[in-house]
Amino acid sequence: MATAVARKLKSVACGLWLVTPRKIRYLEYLINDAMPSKILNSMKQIFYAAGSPFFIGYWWMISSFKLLTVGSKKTFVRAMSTTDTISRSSKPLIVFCHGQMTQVQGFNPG
Amino acid sequence: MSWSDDTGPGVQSWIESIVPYTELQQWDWIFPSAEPIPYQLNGGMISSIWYDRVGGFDPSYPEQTVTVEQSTDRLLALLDDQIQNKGRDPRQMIIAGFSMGGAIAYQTAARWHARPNAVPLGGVGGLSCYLNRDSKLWSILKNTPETVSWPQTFIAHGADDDFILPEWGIATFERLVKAGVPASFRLIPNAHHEMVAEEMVEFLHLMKDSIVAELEVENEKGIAPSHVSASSSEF
Repeated sequence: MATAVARKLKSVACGLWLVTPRKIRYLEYLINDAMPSKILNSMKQIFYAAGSPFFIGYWWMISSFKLLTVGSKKTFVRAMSTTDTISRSSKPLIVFCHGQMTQVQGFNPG
Repeated sequence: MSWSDDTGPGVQSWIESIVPYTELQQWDWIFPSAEPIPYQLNGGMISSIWYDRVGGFDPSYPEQTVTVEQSTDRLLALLDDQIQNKGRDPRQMIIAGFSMGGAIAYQTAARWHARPNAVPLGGVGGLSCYLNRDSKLWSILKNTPETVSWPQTFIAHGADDDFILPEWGIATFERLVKAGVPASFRLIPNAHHEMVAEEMVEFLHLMKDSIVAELEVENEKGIAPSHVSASSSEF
């Protein structure tokens, strides 16, 4: 019984871990690298039209896809840690200026 | 739907979420934040904006040039700091932005290239943005010495943008081209007021090509990068 409850709690915790904004961002990196952008954009439009609650479904779906594609937790973790650090080297520089507003709910900042 | 001010870290998260990692890694990025100022369109509330607007969004409203120049001064100082203290070559520096950030990128680039003996930047990018019809930028462009050439400028706009209308972006693009700016325009199908992976990747590729071309031209001329004097700025 205790083991079953612990397993359940663990799966819930894993679920929450997957849908935090920071993790979603990393998942997006991975998906964008793996999936053709036209398919990705079409999926995004469908879920966008369906409303905010469906975003979570969308991210669950793409995360499952990516985990299947990548095939190993090790690769997944490595991808996360490398994307976390945007390098400060002698590469060419982009100074990128933000817009006026960002939408709190939804995807399309203004 | 609710809204909040965007900032450098905000747009950084957004870009990191849509640009493939392999593309992101090829660049150094700086995401400056605008100095919070009163915003007349929002009842004078202090907002993280690059310049004030009065009347509305339509390009026919007068530009609030004083606030534009407070931001361009800071961004020019940031670019100068990269040259003086980080040893960067201007020809390997891009200034770009989204929406109001795109407009301030144009404004900064105009003032950069209007400096005497300015070494051109590597490229300019304006995503989903526009300039007011009476913008001071137009007169700056007119007075920019012919010897200073603007770098390649990438402009894109969502075809379904109902916040900053595509026709405003197209009108700005056409006027920039008429003024001699080597710009390309891309209308992004099915995109609202947003950045999408497709346009960002295209932007990065064009900028890379532009940097290579700039360096080749300048090397043929035997021009060394000049260091512009100005104070550094914290963002």
